[in-house]
Amino acid sequence: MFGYIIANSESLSEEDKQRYKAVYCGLCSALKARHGQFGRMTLNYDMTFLILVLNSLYEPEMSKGEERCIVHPCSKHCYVSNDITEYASDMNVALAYLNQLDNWHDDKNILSFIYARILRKKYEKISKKYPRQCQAMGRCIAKLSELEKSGLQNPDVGSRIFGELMGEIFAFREDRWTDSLWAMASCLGEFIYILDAVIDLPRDMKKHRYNPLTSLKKAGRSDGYFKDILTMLIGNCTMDFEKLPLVEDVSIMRNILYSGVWTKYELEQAKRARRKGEKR
Amino acid sequence: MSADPYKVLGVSSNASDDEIKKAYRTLAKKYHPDINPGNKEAERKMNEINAAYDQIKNPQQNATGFGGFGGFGSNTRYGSGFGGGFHADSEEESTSLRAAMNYIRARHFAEALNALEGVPVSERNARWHYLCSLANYGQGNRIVALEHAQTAVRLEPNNMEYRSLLEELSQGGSFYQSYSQGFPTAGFGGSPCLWLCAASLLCNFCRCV
Repeated sequence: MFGYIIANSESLSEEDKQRYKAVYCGLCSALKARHGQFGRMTLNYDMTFLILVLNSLYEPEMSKGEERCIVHPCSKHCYVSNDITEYASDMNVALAYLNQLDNWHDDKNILSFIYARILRKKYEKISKKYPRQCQAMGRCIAKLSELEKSGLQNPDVGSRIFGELMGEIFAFREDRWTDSLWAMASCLGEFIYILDAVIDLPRDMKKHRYNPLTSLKKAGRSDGYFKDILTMLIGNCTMDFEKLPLVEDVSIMRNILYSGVWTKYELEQAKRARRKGEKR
Repeated sequence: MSADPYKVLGVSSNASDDEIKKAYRTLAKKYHPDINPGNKEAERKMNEINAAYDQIKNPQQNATGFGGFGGFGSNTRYGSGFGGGFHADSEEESTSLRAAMNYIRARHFAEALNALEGVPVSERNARWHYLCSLANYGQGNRIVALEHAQTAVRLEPNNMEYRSLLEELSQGGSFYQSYSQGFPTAGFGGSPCLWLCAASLLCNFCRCV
């Protein structure tokens, strides 16, 4: 359920591209600095969005830097970072740890077990610093895996759990924006949960794996119906997003919410359409 | 809420969304308590600016009327109007439906759903779906709520109450669609992992859930 919150680079301006990249690289180097190479392996785009939102809302000082890294060894590149970047990197590692642990419990995936072991110490430190967020993450991931085991066919249940998880992560501070941030992020989480389910639906049905939309699909619901649900959910998210007084980087964030979040969905739809064409 | 919120923020009443946000930010920076410690006047001004921003951005919160559906779930999007048009109970309405409606009014959504569960399948009419939609929405079950609202409208296409509920529920989606027209469809003409691709190769084995 990760890696969906990305920008549509095609339609980003050159300036925004550079900026997006610098924020992403800032997260990457914060992960490296705080949690080592193994911490860096948890890197994904989702937390870049978190940084953009919190940064734009709270406008802390950003420190800029230039570095070479193993990912881009040939050229030096810019990065920006601050305490929000550090927060995002901590959340990223905590989430990765809990996720790997859950994979190990559910599927006995040995790689997950090893990786979780590597991240455990880092997680323990983070959970002392951010008990509310870490407890919420743990609680939500446990609830999701329980839900999977129960096989319950009610898409609202899972989406709300994932929404709660996202809400807790985005609620960075307790202030007058906490509720709006929470509302925006939880709607985004609900959207992502269903998006993930829609994308995985054919594969899950084939392999008889849990998917919250199986019953609806079997009852004859069309792709258009699922798209309507997705649009409603992301629409709720953007309504809350637009209530926040975000000015800096707003064009990148809008690119993500109005276009980028659909990237994997559109690719999947295109793939399905191609396959259908080949069959004919 | 006496002063004109636009005046407080120093923008015209037909200012764009982004102009309002910019104006708010500029003023908030100027009067922020961190910058003006102990300054009572700045504090008063900051409160005024915050109140003006909220008034423009969350008009429902300030709206009076049927106190019911504002603040559904975690947000107040459906504040005004929503459910305000509850009809007086008709004579023949079953006691379960009436009970459900009362529960919804009192915001006891779980109890409302319980009462609705008790209605035999053969008696589940448009009104039943309408109430199901309201109760589910109150509980935060948006997907089921949308489904029931659609069914209610399908069964009684001319009922304005049901139609306006469906419209309210789809409001976020319509807003989104009109806004996102300015953006090209994602996922074409390039790989989704942009130019930062190498990094995601690194974490392939931690791709999860």
